[in-house]
This record gives sequence, C-alpha cells and structure tokens, in this order.
Amino acid sequence: MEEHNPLEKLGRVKAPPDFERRIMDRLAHLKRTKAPASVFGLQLSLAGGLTALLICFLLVNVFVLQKPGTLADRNRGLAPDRSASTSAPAAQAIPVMESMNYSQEVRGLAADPNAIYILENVSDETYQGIQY
Amino acid sequence: MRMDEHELMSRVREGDEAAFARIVSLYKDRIVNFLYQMTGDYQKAVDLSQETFMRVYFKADKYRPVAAFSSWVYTIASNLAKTDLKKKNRSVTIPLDDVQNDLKAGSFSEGAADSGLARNLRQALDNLNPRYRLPVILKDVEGYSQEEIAVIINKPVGTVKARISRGRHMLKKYLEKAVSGGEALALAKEYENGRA
Repeated sequence: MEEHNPLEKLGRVKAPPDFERRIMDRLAHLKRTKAPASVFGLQLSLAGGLTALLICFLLVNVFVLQKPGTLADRNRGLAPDRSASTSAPAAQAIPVMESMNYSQEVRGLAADPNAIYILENVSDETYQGIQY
Repeated sequence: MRMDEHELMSRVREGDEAAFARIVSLYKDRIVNFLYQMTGDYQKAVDLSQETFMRVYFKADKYRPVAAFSSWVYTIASNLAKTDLKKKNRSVTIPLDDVQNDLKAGSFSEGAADSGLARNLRQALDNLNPRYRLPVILKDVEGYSQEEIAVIINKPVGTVKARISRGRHMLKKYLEKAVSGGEALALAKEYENGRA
C-alpha cells in the first residue's frame, strides 16, 4: 500500500537558472585565491618553525649550558668555583710549583749556631704542586 | 551514456571541472530544495548549496566510494544546514510569503505549494527542532530510506527511526496548535491518518 505523505504539499523549489555559472565563477575565483594562500601558509609555518628553533636554542644556551665563568670572575666571587669538585676536568686545573728551602729557614730560626739539624726525606714522592 | 558518479568524482579529484559541472547539474535542484526545506529561506538555500558544491570540489580527495555518492553530498549539505540553523536560532526568520512571492516571480517552484495548508505545514516544519526536522525531510521530502538517512546523519538506524517518528508526531501537534483554521486541522488529521 502506498504511504500517504502530507509533506509533499510543501512543493519543491529549483536552483536559479544561473546557479551553475555562479558556481563555476566562484570555483575559478577560489582556485585563483587558494593557491597563493597555501604557499603563503607554507612560508608562514616555515618561518614560525625556524623562530621556535631559534628560541629553543637561546633558552638552552642561557639556562641549561651555563658556562662556569673566567678565573678572574671566580676570584671576584662572580662565578662558582668548581676546582674543589672531583669531577672537575684536569685540563682546567692550573699546577703551581713552589720551591721552598727549608734548611735556610730552620737555620734562621735556631738560636744556637752549633746545632746540627738532620733533614730526612720522609717520602720518595715528588711534590706535584698545588691545584687551584 | 550516463557516467557513474564515482567515476565523476575520481575525475573531480584530478581537477576535472567538466566532471564537476556535471555533478552540479545532476544535484543542484535536489540540494537547493533540500536546503530550502531545512532553512525555509530560498536565498539561504541557494547560498548553502553553492557552499556545498564548493566543498564537494575541494574535499573530493576525502570522498570514499563506500556508500552512495548522494549520501555524501547530502551529509555535507545537512552539516551546513545544521550549522546555519544554530546561527539562525537567535535571529529573525524571513516570512514564507516573501519566499513564495520570489518563487512565483522567479518561477523556480514546482507544483502548487502556495496554499494555506502549505504555509501552515511550512511554519510547523520551521518550529520543529533541526534534530527531528532533518530526518523527517530526508525521509518524507527527499525519499531516503532509514538506512540511507543513518549514513547521512551518522547515527544508528534505531535513532533515525525514533527521530522520524517523534518528528512526525511533533509536526502533527504543531499543526494542531499553530492555527485554529479549518485547513490546518484538516491537514493535522490527514497527517495523523496517513502516518497511523
């Protein structure tokens, strides 16, 4: 049995006569404007990406890879002294050799000139110097 | 020989404007009518139809020939209509008389729709929530099956069935309430008898 449909009474409308021409005009217009827009978008995203990379590089350099500072800065207390740390690389330590003549000093201190002091070498190891 | 719509779409995907023009020519009246029934505004329907076909062209690469091509076009059109109705929800609607005058002047209408019955039905349809209006129009105006409507609006068949039923019931109530004129009551009765 055929189903009764009251909504048929609404009637149907059609597209206007110039509908297709308007569509094709709009398509041509969009095609013209869309292509440059996509190239511009690509350029914009590339520029944005590069800027983000640059910012990351700067942040890493400033906050993560902080340099220990110069020796003069350290002496002035402007930079942390890392020489005491065991992990400090050997290349950064500065060896200083200080030669001392203890015999002269002891003689100078002694009141009795006939007294003889025997200085004995207590270690075979040579002095390596002082590390700052 | 009538070219297959899937084949036309594969050509459109490659940028063939002639194939696109063929699709427009095949679907323009159906889409304009569908959007007119959805929005109740002829000019809006024409604008939305243009937007629908633009999307068909520029989103052709997203089309998958798993369902009927018409379902895909109607999905685009119904999504546009829903978005427009949300915007329109708080705005003033154009009186139907103006539209019908336009139709007479432009001779775009088919059949005798300029009657009190049609006007009341139109008003009732405009009052219907788009959630129910869409499946009712797809079923009763466009003649789609419940399964096809389920594909178009991306809802289960059971939901579609329930919405059609509820939408028809609400239409009938609106018709009964809207006017106390004899035509509207007759139409409401006719609707009730037809759908019983």
